[in-house]
Amino acid sequence: MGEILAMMRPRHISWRAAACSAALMLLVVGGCSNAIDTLGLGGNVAAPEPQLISPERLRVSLPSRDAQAVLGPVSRNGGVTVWQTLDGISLSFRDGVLIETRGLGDDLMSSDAAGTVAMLRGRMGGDYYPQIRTYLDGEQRTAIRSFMCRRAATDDSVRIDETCVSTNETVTNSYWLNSAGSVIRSRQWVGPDIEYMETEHVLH
Amino acid sequence: MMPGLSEQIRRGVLAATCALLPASTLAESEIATSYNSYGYPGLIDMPVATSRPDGELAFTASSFAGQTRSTLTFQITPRLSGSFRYTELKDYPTATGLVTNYDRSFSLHYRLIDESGLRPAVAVGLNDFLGTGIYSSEYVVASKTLTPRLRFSLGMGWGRLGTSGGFKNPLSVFSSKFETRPARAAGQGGTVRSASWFRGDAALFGGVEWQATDRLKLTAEYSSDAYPIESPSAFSRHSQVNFGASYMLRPGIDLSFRYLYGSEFGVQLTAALNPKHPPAPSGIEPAPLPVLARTSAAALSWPASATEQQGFRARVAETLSDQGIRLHGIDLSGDTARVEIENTSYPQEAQAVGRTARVLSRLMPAHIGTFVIVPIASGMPVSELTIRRSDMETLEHDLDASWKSFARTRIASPAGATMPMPGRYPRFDWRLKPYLTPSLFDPDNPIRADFGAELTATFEPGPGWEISGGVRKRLVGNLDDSMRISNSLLPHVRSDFNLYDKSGDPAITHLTAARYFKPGRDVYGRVTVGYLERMYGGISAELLWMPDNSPFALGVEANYVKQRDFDQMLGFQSYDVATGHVSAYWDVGNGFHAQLDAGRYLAGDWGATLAVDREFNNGWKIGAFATLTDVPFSTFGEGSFDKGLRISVPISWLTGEPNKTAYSTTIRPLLRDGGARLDVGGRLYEQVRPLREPELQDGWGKFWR
Repeated sequence: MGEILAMMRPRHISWRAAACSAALMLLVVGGCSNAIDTLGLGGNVAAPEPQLISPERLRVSLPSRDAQAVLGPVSRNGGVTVWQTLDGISLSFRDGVLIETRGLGDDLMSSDAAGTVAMLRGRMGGDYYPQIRTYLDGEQRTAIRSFMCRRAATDDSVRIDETCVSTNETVTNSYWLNSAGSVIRSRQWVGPDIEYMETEHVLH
Repeated sequence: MMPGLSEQIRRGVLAATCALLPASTLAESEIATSYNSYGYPGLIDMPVATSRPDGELAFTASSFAGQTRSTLTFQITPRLSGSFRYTELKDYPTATGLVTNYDRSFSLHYRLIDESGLRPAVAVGLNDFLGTGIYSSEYVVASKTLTPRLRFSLGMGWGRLGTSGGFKNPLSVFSSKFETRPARAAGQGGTVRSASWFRGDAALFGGVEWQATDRLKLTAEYSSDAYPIESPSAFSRHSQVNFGASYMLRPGIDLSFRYLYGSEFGVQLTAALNPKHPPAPSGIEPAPLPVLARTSAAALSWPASATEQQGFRARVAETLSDQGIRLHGIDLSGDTARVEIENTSYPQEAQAVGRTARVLSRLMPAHIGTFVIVPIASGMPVSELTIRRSDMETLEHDLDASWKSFARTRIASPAGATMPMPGRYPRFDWRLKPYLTPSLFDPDNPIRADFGAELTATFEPGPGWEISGGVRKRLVGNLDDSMRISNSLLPHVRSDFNLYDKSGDPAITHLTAARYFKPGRDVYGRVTVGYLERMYGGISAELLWMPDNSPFALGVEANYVKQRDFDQMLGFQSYDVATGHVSAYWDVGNGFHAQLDAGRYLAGDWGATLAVDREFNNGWKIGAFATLTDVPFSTFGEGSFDKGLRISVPISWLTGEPNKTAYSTTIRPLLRDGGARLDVGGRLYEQVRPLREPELQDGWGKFWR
């Protein structure tokens, strides 16, 4: 690229000044991952040592991040189970429905899963029900996304699909239930950044 | 269990940061507003009437025919943008022949009317209204979108934008004084040249933008700029029609090529990012500890013996320390646990409070029903948050956890002193870290920098006492290349900075003893003695009054200082001065903050500084300041008065990890001696403000994070 331009006008375009300017921008906006690590600019908050409350495990994968982890349960409060990885990412589920994430970068801060839980228990029929989710926006203020959801038809007898629609998104969550009606496997939408998360109970 | 998920997340954030990815994205089927060669919203050399997204910060570098312009532009509000520009003009004609001229200038662009229906968008702008006036011009421009990919602009320019195809100023129907534009004053620049705005010949300009694809935009314009000074010495003009092509390399980064004035090729690189769009909005720090409901907790009871109490305190301190929070004091009485904390990690104090409350829910004896959490700054208690333990238990997984918990938290301003626990004092801390000091837009070299190692140490013998020092050793850099000798007519209180750069290696950056105290409920105080900053040592005293529920605060600061030796060791020069200010602080709202300091400056001059900053809730700060003192413009020298821009980028925005450090820089067209303020560390307003209710409320979104 530089060569072509240099031929056009060797004397006049001041590459040195342009390069200096570009370097300035980098200075202002900051360096790269190596620099951040070398300069010790990372965090100093330790991942809490998971204090497991039962032998169950949950295998989770994030296809968009090409990442996988196995989580153990660390808390049960008001019908919500919090699962955690060794490196400090936690996911909270109400009756198998994801309601919170912590440590994913664009976390699902809270959500209202009552409609989905009722649908999974067969109480909704084909009716629509609302689903409200909160995130943090770029200025760390609560940002709300609301959806209308309904059970979708599936050709799979053990899978229940749920389609949720907002003004600019349509997502489909899938749940596999065991004979006792508990979610043993799922594919759930986390948010626009992470997209879908797949979960599977691996030990009971 | 398998680690590695968080590592993948972290890598993703850093990759986005390094690539400057998360700038604004192109709106659907709309024409992107480009930055022109002067770095403000425009075509190639000419303006358009549209604006860039609110909050965007853009850097543009353009070059053609030896005219290299580097511009920093900030979209201050949705309608107003401001630019600061550094220009290198080759083959610039002067009385002594052709020279390379360096110039600094400011521009403002304001969108008056939005496009709607048949009505075009209309904007007005001022260029180089403060500098030496090389680019002095004004314009009114209208832009109309004809198809989703085609937009026309037509405008009228004055000053430099009225030099080609100029005609009698239509504004002269109002007054004949509009017919002539006063000559560019040959003085020091820096004066607001409102007397010449919209005066003299006017001319029409215009152009068309065609968004060929989502990434490629083609532009043609008719320029009304005859380059009256630069042409023909720098280049020859054959035509007023310019052509350009812009290609978006990735969102926020554009590369443009131009063919200008029928004779020259030009190139421009634009890099834009928006502080509103961090790579990781919620942060990637580890999850907080889960709340432990008392029903499931093994009933803990307050230990009776002194050694057991000590062990209990140590356990709370250690658990908090893992969370990046330092326990300052702890006291249990009745059903209340009062805990003083020092937040060493989280940019949002509310997050430190939330994590502390979670820790307390896990460790406090079952009979404790109320948590009183007191954030401490430099040994001073700033706020007192009363949180019911049962609210932590019931709201942890609530959809409206954030606002419900804020509404149920009582926030007060504490009276009285802190109650530090045994072992908190004395405390010694030191760290070795790298430093980088850029010098931007020096008249001889647009960018210089030093990089080296800095050793700092702090000793706190008791609450509110702080003895600290710092030493720097340069590793590489060229700050000492500056050969410019100060020609200032004032005492050289700042303009000998390059002598400090040359001689101070290694240098003692500061060596001070400070006392912080709280004489009243809303009053904070500071006394600092020693080597206060790189150029001055002495004594500095400050009082700050910050009433509750008020957007205003008032401070006074009085200093007696002596100028330090250039080598920045222990010696002093003969110059000494009493300097100080009365400061009024105003939280304007919508993220804008204003500060007015009136008093006596380092050169003994009297005057006032006005600073306005836009603060983003994620910690970015972008602002401007100007100081007028009783020093006449002619005595001040080039620039006429002190002014500049300041930018502060929180490291946590870049990394997504909790860190209270920010990279801050001040950009001044010139650093001279008038209106210079002492740069003492530990000023109270910035220490106290993040711990008070308005900031806690703004950060409450992170209480449960």
